Amino acid sequence: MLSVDRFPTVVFIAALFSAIATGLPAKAGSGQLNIYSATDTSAMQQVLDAFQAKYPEVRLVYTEYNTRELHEALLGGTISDADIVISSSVDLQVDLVNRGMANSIDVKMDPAIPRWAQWRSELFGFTFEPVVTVYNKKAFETFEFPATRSALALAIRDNPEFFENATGTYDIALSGVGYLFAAQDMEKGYQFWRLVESFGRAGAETFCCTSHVLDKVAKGELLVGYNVIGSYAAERMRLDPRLAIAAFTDYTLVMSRSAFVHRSAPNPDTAELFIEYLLSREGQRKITQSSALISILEAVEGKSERMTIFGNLEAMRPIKFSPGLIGYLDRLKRAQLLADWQDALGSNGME
Amino acid sequence: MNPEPGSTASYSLRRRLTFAMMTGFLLILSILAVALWNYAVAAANRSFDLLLEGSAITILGRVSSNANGITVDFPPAALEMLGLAEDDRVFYRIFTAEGETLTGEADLPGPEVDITNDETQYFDARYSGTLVRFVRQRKIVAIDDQTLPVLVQVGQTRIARDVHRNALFLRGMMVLGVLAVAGIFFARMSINLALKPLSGIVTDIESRDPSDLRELKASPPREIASLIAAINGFMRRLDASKDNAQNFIADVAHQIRTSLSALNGQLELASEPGKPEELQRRIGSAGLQAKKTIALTNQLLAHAMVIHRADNQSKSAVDLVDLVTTAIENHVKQRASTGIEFEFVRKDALNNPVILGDAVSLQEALRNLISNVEAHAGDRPCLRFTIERSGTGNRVFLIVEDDGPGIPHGQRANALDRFSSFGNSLGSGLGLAIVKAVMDAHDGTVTLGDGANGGLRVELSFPC
Repeated sequence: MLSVDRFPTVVFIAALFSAIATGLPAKAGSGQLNIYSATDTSAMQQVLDAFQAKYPEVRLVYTEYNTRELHEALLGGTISDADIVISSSVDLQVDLVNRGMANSIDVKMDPAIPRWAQWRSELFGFTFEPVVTVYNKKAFETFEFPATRSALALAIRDNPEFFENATGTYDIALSGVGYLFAAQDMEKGYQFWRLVESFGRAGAETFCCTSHVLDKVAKGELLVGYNVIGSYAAERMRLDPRLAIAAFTDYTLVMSRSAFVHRSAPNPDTAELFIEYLLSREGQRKITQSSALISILEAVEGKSERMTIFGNLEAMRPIKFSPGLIGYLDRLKRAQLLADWQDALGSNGME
Repeated sequence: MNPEPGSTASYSLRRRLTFAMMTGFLLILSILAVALWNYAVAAANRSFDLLLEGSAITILGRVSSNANGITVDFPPAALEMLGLAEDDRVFYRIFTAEGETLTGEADLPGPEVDITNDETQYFDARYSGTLVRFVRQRKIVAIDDQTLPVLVQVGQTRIARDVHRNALFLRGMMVLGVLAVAGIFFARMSINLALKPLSGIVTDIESRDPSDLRELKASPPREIASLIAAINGFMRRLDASKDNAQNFIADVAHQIRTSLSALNGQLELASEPGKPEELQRRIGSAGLQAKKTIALTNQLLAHAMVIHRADNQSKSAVDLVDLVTTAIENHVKQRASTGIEFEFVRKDALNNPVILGDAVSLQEALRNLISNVEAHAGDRPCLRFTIERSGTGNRVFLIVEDDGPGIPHGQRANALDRFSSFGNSLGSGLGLAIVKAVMDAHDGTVTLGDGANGGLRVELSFPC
């Protein structure tokens, strides 16, 4: 009797709650939101516009930085009004979060967002970006581009004239994300150093940014660009048929661009709203469909098409957000790695 | 007169036991909770301290020296290891004993007391806005001809270990809680089980016919066997007393009916025509019968009075000397001339012996003894009262002796029963029975014996 009596009450209360929940007005963002980001403005523009359209009250101020400079500016206190910090260098991001610079936020997380792309409810990865090698399509018409690092190293050794002054990669001393990729490569095994040595022998050039490498490879001034950000490369390749992408089959690193709310954010509520938007299905769809970036979520419309260009999904090795990344930022470790890198690359690599 | 059974139960045994159990459990639970908390803290620290120490060892393993001095090839795995505690932040510092930071965070707080030997040191300190658990280890690095101590300090925020500690504590408390609830439940069950025979007895007694005084059939547990035995004993006495009362009523009815029939017969006979002297004799007989009936009725009432007072009267101090004196005075006052010669002997020179008793009942007993002498002992009998104490002093004897015919040995056993009159005429058969009843009511005894002058000796023995 009792349970029969109680049942409609429960239903009623549940209905009341859901009414309250749905009846609540959506959080309204307002004021100025300062985003400091180590991401090409062009890549973020579409997403920012979509956010702006949804929350017209918010005034977005987007400042673009290089990954390392951003890190140093935040640590040094040059930047004091950051609401949101975005960077592709997840090691530097983890370092900032580890120093207590991030706010813990309670966002409605899509359970499909992988565990490796988040840390402490503070740092959230919102893109899925394979780290790839680009090459000049015309130059490799006659022989197939090597599928692994060892094969590439071997090809460079066997064809010194062909690769002479034709390879390029990040200047890892300059670029935070370049250092991250090198550190991760080094962790994977010896073939990386063999490759760097062959780059050194071939007189490889180093660059600050993915876009510079892409420019030169497209023009044919360089034939191979190693460890460039796949999303940028894919976007460029779509516009420029002279470029081709190779995702190595031994392993392909995957980087996730990450964002956090600064602990002393002037506008923390809107900042939280922005993170929530980035991670929302709507935001993820926007990222995949109308920017160079690729969604961290698997089942977002358009992602699989975007991913076909990389092929070889089994070899993808995401860089996990964890304190272990800080280990490579160790002063002595970094000095040693840079020294080794320069040794291997040789003085002719450094301009 | 008696309150309702429910209201006499001023407390519930079950509730009292349950309350006692719960208090006990609560006390034990609180003590265990403190112990459990300490255990949880220690256990959580132990497991995560191992992780920290492992990390420190890994880092120290990469500290060595070359021609340029101390080198550190920092192992990221040492921090990766700490990343097993997913949400915790990590900090480290590698420094020389002089305090020169080789790498890591130069501003990490130190322990209150620095270690100077090679032992691992753990401590908590505030850093980066939160409480951090640190481990500090040292190692000796040889450079050229000298050795230099190098220390590594690794720290980790306490989120995972606090979660672990709370989980351990809560799980433990849950088990304890279940145990406590189960304990109280079983305690209640056993109380119910233990009290079950009592309710059986209640049902047995409640369902009985008022006249049903058979023994309780319950097979009680040892703890309440004495209670059952007491109830059964009481029922037996009640049964016996009921039988006595019935017999008494039957006897009384019989005696009075017989006496009245005899009186009636005498009167009818007297109303028949006859010679004047014959009529005179018949009326005399009828008068005698009427006297006997009156005496009988008086004695019955006296007996009933004595029994009633025994049940209901509270006792007071009675001076035996006064008692005897009053009895003699009463006897003498009622008659113009008494044939009895009284003698009063006090064998103890002490104060008047005083007993606790009912003076009215005792007076009635003495009156009956005097009447018996009057009825049975012939002309000018002599009656001697003697008061003496027992050797140990805990009893007082009042001895009444006459010089009459006494009671033959064989009949003494029954002499104290009701309606056991022997000898002649006016005896109702109740005199000695009344004495016996009075003595019973005073926890005393009546002993019949041979008097010093050949008559009956009645010894009344009182406790004092």
